[in-house]
Amino acid sequence: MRLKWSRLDNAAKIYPASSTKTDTHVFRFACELNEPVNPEILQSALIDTTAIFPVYQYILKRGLFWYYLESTTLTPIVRQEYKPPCNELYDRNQKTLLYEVTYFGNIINLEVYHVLTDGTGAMNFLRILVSKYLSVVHSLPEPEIDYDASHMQMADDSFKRYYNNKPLKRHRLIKEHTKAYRIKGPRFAENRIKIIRGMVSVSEILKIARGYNSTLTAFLAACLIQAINEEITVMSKKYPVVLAIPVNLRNYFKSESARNFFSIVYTGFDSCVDNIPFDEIVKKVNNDLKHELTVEKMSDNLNLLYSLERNFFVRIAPLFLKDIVLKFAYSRASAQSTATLSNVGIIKLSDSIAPYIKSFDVCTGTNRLQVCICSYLDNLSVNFTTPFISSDIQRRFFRKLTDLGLEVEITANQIADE
Amino acid sequence: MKSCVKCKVTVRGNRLNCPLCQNSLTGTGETDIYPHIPTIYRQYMKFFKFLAMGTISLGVIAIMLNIMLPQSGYWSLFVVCGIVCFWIMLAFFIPKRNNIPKNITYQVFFLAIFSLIWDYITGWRGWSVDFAIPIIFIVGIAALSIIPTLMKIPVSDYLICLVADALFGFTPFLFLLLGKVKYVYMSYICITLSILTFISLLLFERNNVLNEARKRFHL
Repeated sequence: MRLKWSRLDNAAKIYPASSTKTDTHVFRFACELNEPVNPEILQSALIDTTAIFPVYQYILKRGLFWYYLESTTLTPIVRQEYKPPCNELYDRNQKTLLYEVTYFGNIINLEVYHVLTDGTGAMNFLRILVSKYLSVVHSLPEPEIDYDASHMQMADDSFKRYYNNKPLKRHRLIKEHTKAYRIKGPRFAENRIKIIRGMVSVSEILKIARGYNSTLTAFLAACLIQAINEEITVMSKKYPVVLAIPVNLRNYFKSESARNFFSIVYTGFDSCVDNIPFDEIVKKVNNDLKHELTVEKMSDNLNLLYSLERNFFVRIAPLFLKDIVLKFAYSRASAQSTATLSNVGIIKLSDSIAPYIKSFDVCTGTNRLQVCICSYLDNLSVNFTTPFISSDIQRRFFRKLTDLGLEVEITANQIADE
Repeated sequence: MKSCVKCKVTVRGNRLNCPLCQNSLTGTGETDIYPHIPTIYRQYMKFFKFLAMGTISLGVIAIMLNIMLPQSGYWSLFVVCGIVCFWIMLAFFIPKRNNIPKNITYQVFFLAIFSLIWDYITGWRGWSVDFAIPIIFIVGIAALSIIPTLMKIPVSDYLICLVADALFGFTPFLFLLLGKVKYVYMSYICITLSILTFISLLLFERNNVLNEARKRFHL
């Protein structure tokens, strides 16, 4: 069952307007196997998987007032990786699917345009794809996946479902957001982005985080804030270092949507003081997150964003005008944070196929600094993507981890003129 | 696996330097994790640069010659206008080259506008409203009725373009009302074709047209 066309969900509406050649809003989930990938089997596994997710068989089109998704009969083709990671997937002059599956050596890559879905949706897709692929390759019975949603549940715009039209408490929502510190510096040619991924042991790092009375996300956020803080020039110290942290709303509101359903919370630290003790940063970040991560706050935020979409004047503005306004709104919003830290969480797969998988990782296209975290078994992958040539923040971050006694395994992509 | 002594990390792949601190790595390398993607070679860039250089020099030379020979009239203006029209058409044609129906619609639209402007600045002889515009629209509607069928493009993909072209086809009616048309036959043929296109759309593709409108105009 597939809808002929569909509106974009509330969060997706900003992406087509604000996508650029570096900030592509394309993210990549990669699964590294213990053996080379067989493209023919991957292709047939992909076709089987698309049958489960008709919600991704769409192309993006421009209407007079809004973008919309139109159902398509295009079939995805598995290819060997042929272009830089997280490159643009949407071309307004060409009909293309909004996701792509590629492979290289032992790695299966799934790249998805954020208009289609968020990390949770893409992760479910990749989990099923990998399960199907491995069960064919090793002639295993296909494992049950703990994802249960009807096609209609998948296509659900959960922002709409949980919008309650409550009068907004303006003073609480529109806080005096000051401008955050912005990372600057020379960039790679051709809008290439640099990926530096560190692998650490989940159990080891959890032990250390617990030692600071902190959650894992808050601990890594604190490490990142400290790393950025140490790189700030004296002139920029008037700006605080702020991290934007996307939150999966499915943990707060019941939803099986395979489309976008997330919100963003902020945490930060003033950069004006020199040599801030690390445990103070950890404490501040934990407090911020505890304060922000409540159902009420999430609901307020959702109401604010959805009410904007429902506004009559917003609705009747023609698309080219909306594009300009949304682009501006996006740049205003991104000026409020220095970097984004996104924890996709634990990726679970059936025990029967676990021996064939080495690790998972996530990264995304960006025009500033983006850190994506995910874990599989005991492997925690912390993935930095950035268009900047300098890798000093990454160096400080990973040296911080090694100084705490962790073993870190680094993987990085090689860019031609590096 | 290689390792960096300074960062105390192991590094995968076959790099020479540490991605974090750029110091040289020790140990033996392994196969690469990411493919090497060469820089993108822009195939047609050189062609367009030459085309731009050629047309711009043509314009500059024409203006200079015109200044040297003031008694010959303002003919260089036409050369410059022609070059501008050419680039506007090209700017719309190239990005849409894969979408034939949309391309036809754009070309028809711009050709009609340009012919009107050209007729106006060359001292209004009325050839644009008498012949050029009706003929351009007739060709547009005919092309949009035939080409997509031959290319097996699904109806819903070019329906909006056909509706737009049929709407364009009514503009000669406006010129007739304003009394601007001396030779009326072409205009009447164009209007007839537009009316017939609309009737056939209503009879055969009513649901498709409504669905398409619902999609494209949803608020």
